[in-house]
Amino acid sequence: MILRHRTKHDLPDVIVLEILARLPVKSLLRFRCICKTWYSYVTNPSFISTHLLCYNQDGGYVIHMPRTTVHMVCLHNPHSQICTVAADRTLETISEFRIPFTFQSGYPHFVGSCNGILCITDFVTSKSKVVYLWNPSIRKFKRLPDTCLTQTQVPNVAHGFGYDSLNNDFKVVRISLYRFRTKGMPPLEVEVYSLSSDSWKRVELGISWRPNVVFSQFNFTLACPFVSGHLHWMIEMIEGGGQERRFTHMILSFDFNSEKFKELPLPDEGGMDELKPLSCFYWLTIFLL
Amino acid sequence: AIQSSRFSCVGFPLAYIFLACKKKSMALKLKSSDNKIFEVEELVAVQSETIKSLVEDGCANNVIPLPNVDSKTLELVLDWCKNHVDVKLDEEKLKEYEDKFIEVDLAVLYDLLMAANYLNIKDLLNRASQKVADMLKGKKPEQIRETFNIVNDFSPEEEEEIRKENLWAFEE
Repeated sequence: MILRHRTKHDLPDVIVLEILARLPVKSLLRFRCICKTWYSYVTNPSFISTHLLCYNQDGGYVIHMPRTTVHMVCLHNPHSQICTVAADRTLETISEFRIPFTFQSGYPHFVGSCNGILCITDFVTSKSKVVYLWNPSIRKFKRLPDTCLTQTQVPNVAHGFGYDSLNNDFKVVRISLYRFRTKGMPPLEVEVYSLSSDSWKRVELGISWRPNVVFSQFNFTLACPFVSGHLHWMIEMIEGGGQERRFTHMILSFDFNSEKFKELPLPDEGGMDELKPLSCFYWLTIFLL
Repeated sequence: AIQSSRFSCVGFPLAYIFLACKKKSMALKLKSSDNKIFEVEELVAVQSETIKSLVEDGCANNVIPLPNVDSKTLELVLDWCKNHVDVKLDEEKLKEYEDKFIEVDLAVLYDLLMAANYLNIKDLLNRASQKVADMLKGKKPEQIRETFNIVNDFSPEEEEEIRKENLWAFEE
């Protein structure tokens, strides 16, 4: 088994790296202490990217986390806070992790995951604005710094987590939507956190908002699909007043590379028909698959 | 009998053309480090990107010397290439072949890795790397050092510091 008996020279770097790229994270963390060269291989950012592509090529993972619901919060019935990692082909459980941090409300909310990193916030966003990024495979987490916005109203908050492929950066976007529109107030405020700078910054909406909207809120019963670097939210709104009042929807799309917003058209302008915007979202979800 | 021969009349030229085309694949001569000559079909040999570029540059008319690969390893590598010529091969059978092929000890794997890297045969390099990774993943750092003949250049304090960062990774 011992290679030195047969060979006069060591394996070249390129082959060692091919092998390392196929090892599980746990082994790599252990092998960092083998020697300085292996330490630098494993901690090199370009190796980390290669490993992400190479490891587990035959299939991915499914991360299952119990979903907090309003009922749980109302009935004071917290879930186990245990995430299960399973193979996506067989759904066989690989390991289980307890969420290693707690929230003021006691209820975590899963925002999203990207390249093995999970983003989790407090389910009750009016209680705390704390956001955690968690990488269960290296068992490390990070509490993000506090918000950069000062808000007087209690907004309807949506978070999004994604990867900026242009700058090799992970970003969290937080949209505070003011349900009832008051004159002179913006319809929503946006801040974006970047992991590389470890700070939040305010981002302008940059698109015109429909003028007659009197009420708007996120539809959280639908998924927020992440497609080609863009995250999408469905917003429900009431436009106009009195006899003219009508319920409508819009799809707000955020580009994680350029940090710009876009309003996506709905399949049909018939705003009263609840099913149409829904089917559009199904389409987006299917596109993701 | 007349009917069937009529059918074969139609079939024969087609089969003949097919075979003639297949035969057109030129035979290449490869020489291992221990001076053994291997005669292989070009289609088989050009799975090595290294040999492919030699052929394309017109440098493959005589014997191609492969000074970094011994005959034992070259025989294995060529067997791999022969079994990977026809991509339309039954996927299950190919997997079965690969699993059996790679079931060798670490010393042979080492030679295969070196050869696959030198000859630039991507799928063999991937498969052999995966096999080595599977053999290494549960091992302790001390065992890896011994296997790869690596000298630990960390001081005991430095090593302790790195271990402490992820103690859980050292648990069984």
